[in-house]
Amino acid sequence: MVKPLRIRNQIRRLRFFAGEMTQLELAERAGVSRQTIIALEAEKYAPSLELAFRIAAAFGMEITEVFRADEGGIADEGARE
Amino acid sequence: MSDLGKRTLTSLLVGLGSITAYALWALRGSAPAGDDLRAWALAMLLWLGGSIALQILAQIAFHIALAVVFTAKMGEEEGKRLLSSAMTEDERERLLSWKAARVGQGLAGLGLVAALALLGLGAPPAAALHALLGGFALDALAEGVLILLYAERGASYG
Repeated sequence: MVKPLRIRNQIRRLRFFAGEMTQLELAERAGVSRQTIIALEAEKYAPSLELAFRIAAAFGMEITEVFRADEGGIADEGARE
Repeated sequence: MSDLGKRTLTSLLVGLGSITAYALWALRGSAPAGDDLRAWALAMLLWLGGSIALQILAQIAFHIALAVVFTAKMGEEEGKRLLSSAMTEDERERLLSWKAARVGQGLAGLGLVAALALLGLGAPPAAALHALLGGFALDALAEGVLILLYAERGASYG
């Protein structure tokens, strides 16, 4: 059986290096609510491909510089309903 | 708790209150007779209309309260931005709603099965009508609870 992937991200760190960009500012740039950015940073939500691209674009980066997928070792079983 | 959680909880509490009020009225001695389907149908329609109006009013009140809190905490300009962000329906909210609806619709279906079973067993038609209504009411409540749960625990497309 294929193990589910856990999507990790660097959003919190990238916001810091982007002049401490606020969650609200990133949310507005990506077209989502601030709560979604909070959930993403806490890794309680894995974004769609489209949102992942939009967030990467907000930082002026490639998607793989912001997101990566870890195989196995799912720490958030509850997030995989 | 997130803004979505608070909004859902508001809706859930109003729904619970509304269902309780209907149940108390329906169990009174002055409620229509078991075979008076027209009277029950009108009562249910009235209740549904009242419940929807109550939900709309509760959501308006909730958003006014949210605006006041945001403005007091962050100032007018930032408060407006925060409120606008809180009201944005994005892909995460749609995912949570969709996941919750999958379970909720099953409960509505159970209401139909219960209604048919009641009719088959010779229960009054009004009892079957209430089983249908109960299924939909449970659907709405379950969806609210599940959205709260998924919002706190997290959710993914996988």
